[in-house]
Amino acid sequence: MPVTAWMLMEQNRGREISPRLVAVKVETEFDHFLREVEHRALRIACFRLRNPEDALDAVQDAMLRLARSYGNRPSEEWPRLFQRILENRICDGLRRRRTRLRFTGNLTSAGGKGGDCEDPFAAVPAPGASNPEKTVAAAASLEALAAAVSRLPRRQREVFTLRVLESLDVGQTSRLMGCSAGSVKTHLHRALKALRVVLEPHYE
Amino acid sequence: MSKSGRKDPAISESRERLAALRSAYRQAAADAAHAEARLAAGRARALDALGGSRRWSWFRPASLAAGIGIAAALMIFVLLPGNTHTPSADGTGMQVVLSGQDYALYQNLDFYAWLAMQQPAGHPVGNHHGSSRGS
Repeated sequence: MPVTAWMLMEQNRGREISPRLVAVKVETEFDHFLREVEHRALRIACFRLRNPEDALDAVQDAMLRLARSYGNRPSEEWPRLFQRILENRICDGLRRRRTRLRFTGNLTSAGGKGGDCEDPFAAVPAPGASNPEKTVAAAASLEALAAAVSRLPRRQREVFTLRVLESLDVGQTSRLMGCSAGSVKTHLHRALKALRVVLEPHYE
Repeated sequence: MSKSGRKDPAISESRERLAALRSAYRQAAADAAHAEARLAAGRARALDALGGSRRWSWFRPASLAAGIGIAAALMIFVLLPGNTHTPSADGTGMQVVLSGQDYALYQNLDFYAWLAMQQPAGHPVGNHHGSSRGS
């Protein structure tokens, strides 16, 4: 039960609410929330940043920022706020990396092996291929797909990641993004339409 | 599925590709070294920060109110008409504090003490006042 609901219930019963007990309950709830979302956050950060170390840094930062800035907010708002903080942190990470690469002159590795124009599904083998090859190829195509997704507008990018890669349903996605179910469907449609331009040649 | 109930090869292929992508997507995060430990460390830091921010959350409105109070008190003190007077360096400010009569009395106190020592007993004081002071 969320702390706010518990406090309301205790007040209705006419019981005294100890501030210490509230603090303990909030910490427990916050810990539970972070345990629930940390793996998904790591997957999203890994997909977008293409570097596990950077991804772990991003998730840790997002956790800390949520605690510092929004720890006092009702727990119902945490998922949406955490998602937004994580997305901002990932964008910061990508921006910093682009700046760094611009200075070092190593621009060819910015969007994967082949740069920005690579077909995301070009490396995906035919269905009958052997498993190790398939895995390696899928990883390569995932990297290229990440580059393509990074060029989408923010909402489309988030919807695509949550709905397609995380397999969340429309309701879960709309709660995380703080928008309506209709908006989720629209953003996904537009994201797939934009990605289809890149993916279409593969299916011809 | 096609209308005949058999699997459409194109759809089947798409699903396989999507499954492979999702698998690679999940594997990328699973390959992160010491991920569990670092996530736990991040969680612990966040919980510490949460405790800190909640502990000091009362401090923000309290300090704001105190700051506003001090600023208002200073403003009133500075702008109050009675506080616009500045004491002069030559000591004339004492005249504001003391009435004219009392001030004259205190000013001549040394003289009266000296006069009491100079005059013989029974001699009228008033006759020598002006001349003694002038000498």
